[in-house]
Amino acid sequence: MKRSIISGADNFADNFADRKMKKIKADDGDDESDKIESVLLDENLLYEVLKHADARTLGSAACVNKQWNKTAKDERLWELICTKQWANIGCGKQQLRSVVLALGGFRRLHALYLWPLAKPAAVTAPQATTATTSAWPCLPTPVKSSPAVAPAAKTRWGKDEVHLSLSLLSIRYYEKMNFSGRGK
Amino acid sequence: MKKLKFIGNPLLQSREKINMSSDKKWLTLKTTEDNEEFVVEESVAIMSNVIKNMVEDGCASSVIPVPRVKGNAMGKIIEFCKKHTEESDEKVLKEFDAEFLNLGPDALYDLMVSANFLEIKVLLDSVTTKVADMIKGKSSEEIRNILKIENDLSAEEIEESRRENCWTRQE
Repeated sequence: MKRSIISGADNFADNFADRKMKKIKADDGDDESDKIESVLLDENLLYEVLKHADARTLGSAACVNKQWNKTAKDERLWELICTKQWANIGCGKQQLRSVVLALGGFRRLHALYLWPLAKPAAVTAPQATTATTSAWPCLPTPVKSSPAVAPAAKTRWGKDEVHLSLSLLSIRYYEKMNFSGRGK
Repeated sequence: MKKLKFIGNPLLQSREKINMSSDKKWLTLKTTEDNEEFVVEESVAIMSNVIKNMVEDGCASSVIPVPRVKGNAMGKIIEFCKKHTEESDEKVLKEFDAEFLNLGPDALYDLMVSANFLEIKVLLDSVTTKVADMIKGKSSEEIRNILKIENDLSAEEIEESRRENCWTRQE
């Protein structure tokens, strides 16, 4: 890939093949808070920062302002959060990505099926009796632990948990499909 | 065609004669915003992907202009890159990074913007991790306060966002 001789800032922009490089206001001597804001409102940099955030922080980030909301909904960030703790589930990343995105995306997967697994038992217990697809009625009551010493978010998802959550996601997807055309 | 870049600085020449066997190359980076010049080893400079590509494509002349990065940020970046090329011990580097990134928010953001612009992955990762730590575990209100961001979401939008993520209201 040949790159032309640097003559100005424009050529640097060409190097960012898959990024939209927005011009960041280089305000000299302006109010410092403007600089902070403009930097973290740049979606590329915000994306880079949120790559290191955990699920809870990402959720809070989505409620900060419109730009943050838009960036925090990026499926790639949620894919990172979902998959970094997964055991090897035996299929390629691209394959997994296309399936999950077709069924509703990683953000939904996490919110509906992975997050409840990570939360302390006390919060999820009331839902256990309902037979909706978003609960885990078959799970035995977890080991009783007082809320004060509730374990930190589950750090590793086993193969079965992952397969189960993916199955539930697909079930939910098909439940929501419109079957009015099926008159057979 | 390899050119030895140190020519031009007579003070370095005698030192360079000793170094000739290791064939070190030097580059001059000039920040166009404030016209500061920095002479660095090529091995340090190519930690920046942008500069690396220029060098590999043969476009790098004796002085490389670097727009958008200020002199003091450039100095810090070079210090960081130097340390990371010289040191291979993970633990030492971690300690260095922690000390190095002990900066105010503005300096931190300058560094982040420059690292992003120059495509220095290691530095960008370190700085963004540091910034992410600043907001980790905080509620959206707290994030807004720390970073002085104005809220332009309506109450419904916030509620919808919360519902989508299934977070509890305690935040």
